[in-house]
Amino acid sequence: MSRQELLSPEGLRVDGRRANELRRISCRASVLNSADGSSYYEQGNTKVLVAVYGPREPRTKSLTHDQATINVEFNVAPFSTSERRKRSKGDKRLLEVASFVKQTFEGAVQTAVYPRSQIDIYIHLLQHDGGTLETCINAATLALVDAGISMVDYVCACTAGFIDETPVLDLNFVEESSIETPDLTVAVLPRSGNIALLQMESRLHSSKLEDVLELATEGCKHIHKKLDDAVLAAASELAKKLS
Amino acid sequence: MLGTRTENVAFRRGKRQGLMMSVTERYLRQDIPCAHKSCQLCPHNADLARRGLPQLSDSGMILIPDASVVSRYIELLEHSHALTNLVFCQSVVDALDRRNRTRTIRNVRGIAADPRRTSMVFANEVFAQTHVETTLPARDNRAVMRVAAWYKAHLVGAVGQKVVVLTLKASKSSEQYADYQESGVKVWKLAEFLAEFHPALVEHYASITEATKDGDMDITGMTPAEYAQARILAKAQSGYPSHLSPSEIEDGLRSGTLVRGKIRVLQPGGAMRTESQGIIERGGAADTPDIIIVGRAALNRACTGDTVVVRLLTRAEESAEGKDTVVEQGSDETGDEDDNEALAVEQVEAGEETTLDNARKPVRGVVVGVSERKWRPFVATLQVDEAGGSRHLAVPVDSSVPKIRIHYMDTAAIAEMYFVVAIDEWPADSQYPQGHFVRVLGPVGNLDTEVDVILVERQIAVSQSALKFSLASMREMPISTDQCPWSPSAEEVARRRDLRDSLIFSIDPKGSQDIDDAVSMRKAADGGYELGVHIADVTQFVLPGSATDTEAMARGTTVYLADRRFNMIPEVLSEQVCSLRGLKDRYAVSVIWDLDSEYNATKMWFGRTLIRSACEMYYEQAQALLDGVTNVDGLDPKMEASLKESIVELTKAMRVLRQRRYEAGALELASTEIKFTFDKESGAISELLPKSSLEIHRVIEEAMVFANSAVARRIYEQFPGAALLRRHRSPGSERFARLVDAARTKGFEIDCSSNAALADSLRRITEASKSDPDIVFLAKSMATLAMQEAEYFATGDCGSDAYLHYGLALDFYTHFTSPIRRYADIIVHRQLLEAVAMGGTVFEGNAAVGSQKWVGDTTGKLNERNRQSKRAQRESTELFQSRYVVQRTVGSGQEHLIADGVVAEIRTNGLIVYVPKFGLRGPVHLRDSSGQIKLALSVLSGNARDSDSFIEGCSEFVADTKQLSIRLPMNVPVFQLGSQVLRFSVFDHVRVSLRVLETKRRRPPVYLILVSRASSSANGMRAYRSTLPSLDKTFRVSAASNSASKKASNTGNATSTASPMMTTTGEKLTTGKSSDYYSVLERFGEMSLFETHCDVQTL
Repeated sequence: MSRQELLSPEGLRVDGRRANELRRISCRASVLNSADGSSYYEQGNTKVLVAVYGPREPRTKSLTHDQATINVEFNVAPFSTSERRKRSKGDKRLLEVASFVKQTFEGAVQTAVYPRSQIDIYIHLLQHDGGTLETCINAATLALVDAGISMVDYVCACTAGFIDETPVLDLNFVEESSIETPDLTVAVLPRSGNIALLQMESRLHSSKLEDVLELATEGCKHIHKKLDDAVLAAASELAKKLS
Repeated sequence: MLGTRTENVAFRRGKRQGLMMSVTERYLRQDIPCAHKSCQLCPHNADLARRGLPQLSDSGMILIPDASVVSRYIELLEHSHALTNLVFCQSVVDALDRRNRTRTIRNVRGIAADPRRTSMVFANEVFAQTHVETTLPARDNRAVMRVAAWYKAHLVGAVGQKVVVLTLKASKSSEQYADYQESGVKVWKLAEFLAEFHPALVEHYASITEATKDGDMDITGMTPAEYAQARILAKAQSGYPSHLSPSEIEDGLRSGTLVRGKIRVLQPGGAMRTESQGIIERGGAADTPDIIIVGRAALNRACTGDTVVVRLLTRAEESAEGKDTVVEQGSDETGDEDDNEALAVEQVEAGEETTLDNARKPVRGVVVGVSERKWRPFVATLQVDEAGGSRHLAVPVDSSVPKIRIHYMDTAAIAEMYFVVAIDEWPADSQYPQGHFVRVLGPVGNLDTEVDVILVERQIAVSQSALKFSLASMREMPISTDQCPWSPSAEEVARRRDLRDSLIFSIDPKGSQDIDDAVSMRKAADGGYELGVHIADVTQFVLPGSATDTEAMARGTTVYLADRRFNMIPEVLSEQVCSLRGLKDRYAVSVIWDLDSEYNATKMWFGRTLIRSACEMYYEQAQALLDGVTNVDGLDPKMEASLKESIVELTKAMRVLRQRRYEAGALELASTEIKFTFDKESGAISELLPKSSLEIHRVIEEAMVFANSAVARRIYEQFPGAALLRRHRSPGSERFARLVDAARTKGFEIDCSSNAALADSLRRITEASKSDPDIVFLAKSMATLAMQEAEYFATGDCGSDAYLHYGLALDFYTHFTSPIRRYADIIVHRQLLEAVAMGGTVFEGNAAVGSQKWVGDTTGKLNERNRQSKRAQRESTELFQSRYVVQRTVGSGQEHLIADGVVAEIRTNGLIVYVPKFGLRGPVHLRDSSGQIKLALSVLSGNARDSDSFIEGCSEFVADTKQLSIRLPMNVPVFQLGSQVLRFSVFDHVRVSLRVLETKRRRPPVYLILVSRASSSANGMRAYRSTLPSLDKTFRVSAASNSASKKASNTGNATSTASPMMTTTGEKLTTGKSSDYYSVLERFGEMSLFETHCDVQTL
């Protein structure tokens, strides 16, 4: 497809997907031995590695007497994009993503179970091809589950956009970087259907929002299944080791 | 369902690093529909139909053109409706995309969307069964072949249709074709295919072949990498030559091979200027002619205001250049074509000045270096690059500035907005300078935004709100409120000369708040007079080095715009404490003369005083008193008698002084100043009035000139090196050539050897054209334009022979009388007070005021500030004029705004007409950029309704400095014109229709359309004006009463001039040979003159 044509008249996207198709997702829990919980998560060409530590004794200041504090750090590998670029730690874009992830999980993790403790989530983006926030949240969910931290439910995130009057699921980098494309990220708790995060920086007509949101939520359900499978796989592997 | 997944690897040139790899993933699917009408296998065919896409029909062959055919013969494919069932491969579309062939892709999509063509784009790249590895040789050809083979195999069961691959270079031996031999796919060369199946298209094919013979239309001739390389090469070639190094420039300047100067660049536009052009003006002397630089390449990235280094061209180079530059036109970058709107704007801008016969011929040059850039923040609007992305062109409001390339993502947010851009650099390989977006000013067309645009463009302030005074400066202000008005301190009262008992009054425009001058005049006992000029004592409150002082110096002057003003000093001073209000005690700096009975000054006194103005009058009141009117509106009747006496005496004295100055050669000049009155409620412009000029205006003016020149002498005595004076340099006589030529066409000789001679000539014109003040005004304003601007200077910076004020005919002149609104006056006040040793607190810590360097530097800044504020004022007037025209035409639903005008200038593509009623000058276009002559039909009919259509077939357009002539076509009846050749010369009276060009790019400019012309003399014009309506009336009446001859003779003069003309038309009508003539008559429609024919017969 030509660069101008994000969605061809035949209904195909730049990478050959149709409007309502997710990219290929492959994920695995327990990839690191040194962390309490970890996951490797790929969605198309976007790849993240997450390590979770905790609940553990908090460092100074971040102590809250009745619940655990969640601390998120987000890093982007210099080799994650085609142009090698080092980002400083104080990069506001990185901090923003970290803070979104933190807010999302503050609602989903049962922090009251772990008073006076801290849960650290370290997220590393290894390769970037769009949908950073969704992959980060999905991968973090997997890693938290792997770490055995009590959560209300999985948190599954998915993006959806709106191209040529059509809601489009799971935008890749090319689609995302087109200025005309609104880009909505939603994180839901799949069992209750509650929304943990809803984020959009571009403009979208309010009458279209519902369609786009619905598509993204649909995407979240698929992702839930993928994550569930990964958890199951990790658990059965563990069970195999034990037996 | 998503199938297997591949990754596409592409390389591109990055900004920071060299070659970069970018990886995109692609999913290979199983469910790409074949889109064939009778295919039962593909479930997604229904989906295509739902999307309104056509399906391949089962009759005829399925044609699969390859990349070479599509890229080179897309025109043939597009227009030949006989070619149906085309399958365009996605791989071909991608190949086009890699070479930026957006338009070709659009054409392909057009064909694929047309139901008659039963064609489609087949997504072979994401289809598992047709995908070809990118690493294979001749991969694109293989891809097309595989699609063909797949179709053949896929459709065999369905219908068994023929599948044909169209290519340009088929050879059976080449392996990629050979592979598919057994698949049953036919490979045809396009030419052979057409000859065999569509012989009707062969001719079209041949013509395209011929036209694209040596172009690079066929993309398969080059790999994408080669293509990218070629583009880089082409760009390097089209880039600008690099500038010389500083040492080379230094050498060149010293040896005289290079010349340095300030350049003014005109961007291409208008009828005559198809290329950008630079001019370096170098005074007037014969050995330093002006330099012109033609063409983008020769200008080599120079912008208006830059100081550039130029190499002059030799004659031989010059003639060679002349040929070359024409070729240089096209631009290689996409998206830089002007949109129509911009073109239209350019057309409204007037053409070039006609060249004078006797003008020194400028020499041609080439820019070889830029020593100083004059890049300021520019106000611009956006020209969106249609290809999308974030790189766009900003089109500066100032038409002399080139477009600027900027990066900006959210184009929707700044479309139709004014915004500020800054230029960062202009690399040699970039057609446009590179800049960046700074901030948004606001929507185009919004009044406040337009004012902001003026302020930013004139570098007065970054916005209106930035013109509020700082807290620091407000703290320095004396307190004056309604409850607690300011009053002089006892200490100051003791120190100052108390003039509160004298009769002092001020005369200003109605509604003035900042009254900075007052006068007094009384008879002295010895038969002489005592004349006083009292100026607000601003320096008392604005101490050197204070925040207010620094701010005032930075502002330089109060900026008066048509509907608002931006003060130089805070309102509490300018409107209250300093302002010499009636019946209030105020500090002043006064000049008091003792005059003898002949009005020669016998004694002069300068110093600080305390005054109480008896009355603040406005000009009309004072004039009424002068005219002997009693009980003038708004004046205290008790005061009237004494005020009147003073004013009368003052007037007498000033008449004498003025006369003396005229005898010395002072010029009476004119400028277009226009006043707007606003409707209080709606804010709409209710009226537009040229500023009136009463005698009393000149009386006050003369008093001020008298005071200024007296102060100038005094400070010069004290500070021979550092006095701040104002001079007006004497212009060379060649600058008046245009005026002289124009005046000659009206039979006036102008002698401009000296100011006295010029003043004399102008006076003669005034005498001779009493009945026609517009001509006098125009002549004066032409003289004003020819002269240089007056400027401030420090006396030590030039020889004493250069102090002369040419226009006022004074040896010494300065600005002293308006310290509230001009910073120069504040300096002069300080110098004067220092001179008369009444400085007191003023000079503590401010030795600068006596330093030549400081004064010299400051005058430079003040001159610049004044120039900018004057331009801002003019621009705001233009803004309101244009709004007024909009209001009167579009806004009121009225179609035409007609006004009388006078031809002020002749340009190569039309006229500049001055409309005295609105004080505006506007272009009348008589020839467009293609050379087409555009004469409005109304010139013949005299009817404004015809001003939108043009007379066809005009010829012989000739324009020189004196005259512009157009020959009308023979078949046009020339009723009142008398001749087939229409001539316009400067000072001719015309009637014009005022229009405003709709644009989203800048302040909509006013342009004019010729409605009718009048004969050149005022009398003739009046006769003409009366003729038309009376003719109309006459004939209407006669038609009714059938006694035409009687009535017609009653109208006398009018009819007698009209009859012969009517007869000629009558004859023409009866002979009726020319069919064209009828068509013209038809177009005249309901025009009144048409009805007259029958009446003529009865006459």
